[in-house]
Amino acid sequence: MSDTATATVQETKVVTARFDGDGSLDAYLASGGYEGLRKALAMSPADVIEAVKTAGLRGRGGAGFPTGLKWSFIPKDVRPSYIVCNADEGEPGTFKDRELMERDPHQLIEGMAIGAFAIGCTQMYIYVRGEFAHAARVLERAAREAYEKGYLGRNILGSDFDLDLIIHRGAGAYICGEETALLESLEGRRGQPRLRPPFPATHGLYGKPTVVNNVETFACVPHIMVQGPEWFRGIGTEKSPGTKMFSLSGDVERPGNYEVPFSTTARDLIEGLAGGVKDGRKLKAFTPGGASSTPFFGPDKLDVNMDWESVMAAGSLLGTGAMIVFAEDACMVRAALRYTRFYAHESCGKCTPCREGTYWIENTLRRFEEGGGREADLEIMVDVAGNIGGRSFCALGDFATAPVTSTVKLWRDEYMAHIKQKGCPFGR
Amino acid sequence: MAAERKQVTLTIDGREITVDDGTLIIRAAEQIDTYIPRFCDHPYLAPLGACRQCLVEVEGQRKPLTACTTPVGEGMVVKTQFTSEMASDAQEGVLELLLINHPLDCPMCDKGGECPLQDQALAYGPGGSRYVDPKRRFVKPVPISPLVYLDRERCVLCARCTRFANEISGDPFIELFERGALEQVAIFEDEPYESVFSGNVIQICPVGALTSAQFRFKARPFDMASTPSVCNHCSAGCNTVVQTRRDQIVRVLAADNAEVNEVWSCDKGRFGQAYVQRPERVVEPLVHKEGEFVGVSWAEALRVVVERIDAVKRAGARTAALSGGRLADEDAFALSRFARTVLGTNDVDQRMRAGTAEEDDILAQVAGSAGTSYGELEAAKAIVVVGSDLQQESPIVFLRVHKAATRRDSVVFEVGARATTLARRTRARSVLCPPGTEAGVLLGVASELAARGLATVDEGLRAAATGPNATTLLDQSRASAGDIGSLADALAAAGPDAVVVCGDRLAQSPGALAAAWNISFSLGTRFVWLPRRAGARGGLDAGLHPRLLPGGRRVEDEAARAEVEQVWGGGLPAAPGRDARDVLEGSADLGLLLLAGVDPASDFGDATLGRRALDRAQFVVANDLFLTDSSRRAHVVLPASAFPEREGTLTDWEGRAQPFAAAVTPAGVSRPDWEILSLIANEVGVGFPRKLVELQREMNALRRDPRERSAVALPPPHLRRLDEHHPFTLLTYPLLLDAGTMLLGATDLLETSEGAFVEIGPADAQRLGVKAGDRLRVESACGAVEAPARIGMLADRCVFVPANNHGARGLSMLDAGEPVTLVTVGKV
Repeated sequence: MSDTATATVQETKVVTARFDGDGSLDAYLASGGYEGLRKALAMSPADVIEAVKTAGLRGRGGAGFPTGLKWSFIPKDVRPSYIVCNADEGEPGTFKDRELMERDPHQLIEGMAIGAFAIGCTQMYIYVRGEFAHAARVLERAAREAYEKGYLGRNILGSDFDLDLIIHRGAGAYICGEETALLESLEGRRGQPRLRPPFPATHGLYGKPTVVNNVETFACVPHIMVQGPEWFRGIGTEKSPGTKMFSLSGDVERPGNYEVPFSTTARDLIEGLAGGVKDGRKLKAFTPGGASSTPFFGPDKLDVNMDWESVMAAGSLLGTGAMIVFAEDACMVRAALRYTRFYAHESCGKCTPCREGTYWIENTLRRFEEGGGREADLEIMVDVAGNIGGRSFCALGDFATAPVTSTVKLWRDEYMAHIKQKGCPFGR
Repeated sequence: MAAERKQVTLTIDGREITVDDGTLIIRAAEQIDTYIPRFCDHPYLAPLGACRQCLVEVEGQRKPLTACTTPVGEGMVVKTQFTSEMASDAQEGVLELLLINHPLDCPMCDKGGECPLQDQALAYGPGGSRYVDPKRRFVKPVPISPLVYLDRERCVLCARCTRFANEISGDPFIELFERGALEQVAIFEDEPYESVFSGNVIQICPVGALTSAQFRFKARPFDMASTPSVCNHCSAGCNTVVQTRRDQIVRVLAADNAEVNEVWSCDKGRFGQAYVQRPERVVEPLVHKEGEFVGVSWAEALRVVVERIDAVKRAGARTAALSGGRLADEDAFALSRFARTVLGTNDVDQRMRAGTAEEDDILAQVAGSAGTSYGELEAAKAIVVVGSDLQQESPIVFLRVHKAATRRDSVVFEVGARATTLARRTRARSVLCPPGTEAGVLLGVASELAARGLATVDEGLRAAATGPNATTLLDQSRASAGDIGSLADALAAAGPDAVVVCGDRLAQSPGALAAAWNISFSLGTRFVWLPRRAGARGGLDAGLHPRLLPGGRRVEDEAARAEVEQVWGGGLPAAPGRDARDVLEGSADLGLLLLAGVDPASDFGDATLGRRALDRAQFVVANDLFLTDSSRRAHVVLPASAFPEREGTLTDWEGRAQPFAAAVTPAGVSRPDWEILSLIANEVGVGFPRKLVELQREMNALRRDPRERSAVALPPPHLRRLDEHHPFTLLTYPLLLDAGTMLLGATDLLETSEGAFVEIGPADAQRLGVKAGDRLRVESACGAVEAPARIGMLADRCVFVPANNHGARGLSMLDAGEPVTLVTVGKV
C-alpha cells in the first residue's frame, strides 16, 4: 500500500500481509492459511478461548471490548448459539473491513470458524454492508471454495465439527452497525436497536446466545492461533496489544489503510505513512477514530499514541481507527454540518433525543453555512447536544454530538466568522 | 397461583417502598402515587424506552435511566423529576425536543384537553421555543382505514399503535416507516390496515396523531358527560365509557378493567353505537289496526295486550315467549318470570335454532355456575377452541387467547371446518374437519387419551369413543392421526390446567358439545360455554330455556321448582316447554307469542321458518327497538329502551355480572323490557316486581351454590351423508360486522366489514377450477347464495358463507330440521 521508502515509520503487516495476493483459497493455503483452524480443532474449545484471552485481543469495531471475555460469556447449555460478523462498516472515514473482505476473505472465514469452534456453534453469519457489493461477491466465492474443500460444511478438516456460513447483505442503514440493530435486521425486521439487557451473549440472534465481532477482530484470530498469544502480546502496548489498521483519508498525500502496532503516534501515521498534509499545507484538525463520539484533535495532539488508553486520555476515542485529516483551509463549520447531516440521516428514529436533536442541530448548522447563524445558536447547539448525549436509546445519539461540541469549543472563531461575514469565510 | 415473588425494597424520592422483584421503576413509582411522565410506556405493552420522557436519576449511575425499562433493585435510590435536577433537566430536554416538530395546533386537535403531551408541556414546558428553523411537514390527515385518521406531524413516534398491532391484536400492516426525523407511522401501499381492534390505537395514542373518523371535531373532553357502561355487542363484557354531549352519544371508549377487557375493546363495541339514536327507532307503542301500525299511548297498548292475555287464558290457548340473547339480566329474568307466572308456559327460549338433549344437560350445569375467568383462560397451559371463530365471535376472548399463546406459551388448538385468525396470528394448530364431524375428532381424542392410560376417562366417553360409528365419524372428519395425537398430548400434559372453549353454536353439531364436555369433565379441565350474544349467559342463568328455571334448576325437578315458587309464587308449569324451533313450527296454535329483543324472521337458523311462523301466529307482541322483519309482523309493538338509555346488569361469558348506567334519555316513551313486562303483569293482576331493585332481590334469592359437575349422555354419532347431488357441507356463522340490526347507521364501521364472499379450501378450488374472486353459487335444498370466491384454509368439501353479510346470507340456506346442511358449489 504505502511507499515506505519516503517514510521513517514502517507498517507491521499481520492481517494485511496477504493483500497483494488474489484472495483465492489456493493462495491462502499456500501462505499457511487455515493452519490456525487446524490447530484450534486439536485443542479444547476452552483452551481456544483462553488463548484469545491471553493474547489480549480487543474488539476492533470501536469499543475495544476484550474478545476472549466476550466469547466466554456464551452459555454452554443453550443451543443453538450463533457467531455473527459485523461487516456493516459504515463509520465515516472507515474502510478497513472492506479491504479485509475484498483482499483476504478466507482470513475472515477462518477467524470466524475458530470462534465458532470455541463457543460451540455451527451457524455463522456475515452481515455485509449493503453497498459493499464487491466484498459480498468475494465472500460468496470464498465461501463456495471453503465448502468445496471442506473448510465449511460437514465434518470440517476431518473433525466431527459441522459449520455453515450465510452471507447476508444489509440494506443501507448505518444503525445496523450497532449490534442489536444488526441482529434485528438479520432476523428480517426493521433495523432498530434492542433494549439491553438482555445482551446478545445470552439473547442475541433469534433470542439465542450470539457473539458479534468486527471483521478485523476475527482476522486477528488465526494469527493468534498460529503464532501464539505471547507473540501477539509482544506487539503494541500492554493494554492494547497487537496491530491495528488505520484508515487515513482527507487532506493527506497518500490516503489508504495502514497496519501498525498500537504503539504508533498520530504523527507517524499522518506525516510518515500517509505522506503528510496534502500540497504542503498545514494541519488544522484530525479525527483519531472515525466520526462517532470522537471529538476532533488539533495539531497539538499529533504526538498522542494511537492506542485506546492514550487517545481517551487525550480527550477523544480511538473508535475504528479512521483518521480524517483537515488542512488549514478546511471549514470546520462545514465539517460539523456534514457529520451532523450524516447522523441526522442515519438516526433510526426510535428515540426522541437522537431523532429530533440531530434534526435541530443540522438545521442550525445549515443556517450558519447559509449566513443566518446567530451567536446564541452556539450555546443552544451545545445545550441540545447535551440533551442528546447520554439520554438517547443507543450510542448513535452520543456519537452525533461530538463533532458539534468539539468544533464549537476548538474553532469558535470560525463560527463567529460565519456570523460576521454572513456565510462561509472559506468560500467554495 | 404464582409462587410468592421475591420482594425488593428501594427508595423513590426519599420514600421507601417494597415491591415485587422485576417491577419497573415507573410502576413502582405509581404505587406511591409518584407520576413519572411517559409517552411510549403503556402497562399492557412490552417496555420500549423510545420516547425518553421518563428519565430518572438512579444513584450510582452516570447517566439518567428510563424508568419504563429499568427494573428495581434492592437498595436502589431513585430520584425523579421532583427531587433530582438531572432527572428534571433530562425530562425538560426531551420535552423540548418532542415539541420542536410538533404543530402545536392544540386548539383544533381532538386530543386537546386529554393530551399527555399538552399536559406535560403545560406543567413543565417553557413558555416559548428556542427552535427557530422550519418544522417538519407532512400531508395530513391520512386515512389509514375508514375509521382511523393519521396526522404524522403530531406523532411523537412512541410506537404504541404499532406495538399494539404487533403484540396485542396480532394484526400486521401498520408499521413505522423511514428513519430519523422522517420516521413515520404508515400502512403498506398494497396491504390495508385491517383490524377489528383498530380503535384501540386511537385510544392509546398519547397525542392527536391517530384520530377517530367518527369523533373528529365532534366535542371536547370537558364538554362531554361520561357514563360507565358495559358493551352489549357480544358476551365479552367489555367495560366501556359512553360519552355524550347534549344527550347525544359522541364517543365510546374502552374502560380499564384488568380482569375483563384490560383496556381494550373491539371496533364493533367502540364504533357500533349509532343504532341507539337512529330516527328509525320505535318511539311509541304501535298497534296494528286495519292493515297498518298506529301509534298509541302506553295505556291503550297495555289494554290491548292485557285483553289478549285474558282472552287466551280463558280459552286455554298456548302461549310462548322468545328472546334472542340480547337482553340485560333483569330483562331476561323478568321475561322468564313473565312466561312462567303470567303466561303460565315453559315455552320460552332464547336460541334461534333447535335445542338438543345433550345441550340441555350441559346448559343445566353451566347455568348459574362460577365458570372460568379471563385470568384463568390466560393462565391455561393448553386451550382447545371448538366451534368458535374467536376473533369474529368473541373478539376480546380472542385477545386473551392470543396473549396466552404469544406471551405465556400456551398450546392452542382449534377444531372446526375453518382455520380462523387465531391460527394465522399465533402458533395455534387448526384441526380441520367438516361441520358435523367435530364429535368424530373429539371422540378420537378421547380414545387417544384412554389409550394413554388416563384412567380418569369417563366410562361412557370411553365406550362412545371406541364404538364403531365413532371411528367412522373420525374417518369422515379426515383429521390426521398426528393432529389427534398432538391434541391428546397437549390435553394430557396440561391436565387440569387446560381449558376447553366451546362456542354456543357447537350445539348444532350432533354429539360435539357432549364429547367436549365429557373430555373436560374426565380430565378435570375448565370448561367454557362461550355464547356469542351479550345477554345469552344472563338469559341462561335466568331460565330463558324451556327446560330450565333460574340457576339451571330443571323444570321437572319438583324440589328445584319449589325453590323458585317460594320467590315467584306457586303454580309454575311443571312440564318441560318447547324449544324455539318447535314453538315456531307450531305457531298456528299460539294464542299469544311474545317476542322480546328478537327477530326470528331474520335470525332464525332456517330459510323461511321464522317468517312463516310469525305470519301464522294468532297474536304477536314484540318488544323492540326497531320495526324489524319480525316486529313488522306483530300485532302490538312495544318500544323498548336501548342499553345506553337505561340501567341494568349484564353477565358476560365468564358468569361475571356487571352493572351499567344510563347514559342518554330513552328514545320517545320507550321503557326497559323488564319494566314493560312488569306493567303488563301488574295490569293482568299477577304480582310482579315494579322496581329494578325488587327484581334484583328476586334474582339474588334464586342464585345457587356451585354444584358438582357430571358427565352427560352422549348421543349416538350422526354420520355425514354426502351425495353426488350435494357434495359440500355448509359452514355458516355470523361475522363481527354484518347486516345485524345493531349495526344500523354505523356506515364507516361497516366499510371495514368483509362484505359478500363465499370461501372454499384450496383443494376444492383446484377441483372446481376456481380462482379467488370468481363468482360462486352455493345452493342448498332451501336457498342459494351467489358471491365472489375466497380461497381459505377450510376442510375439504366444505364451503363457508357468512350467516348474515350483505349479499351473502348463509342463513338463507338452512333448514332448521337438519343438523347439517348439504350444498352444491359451482362457478356461475
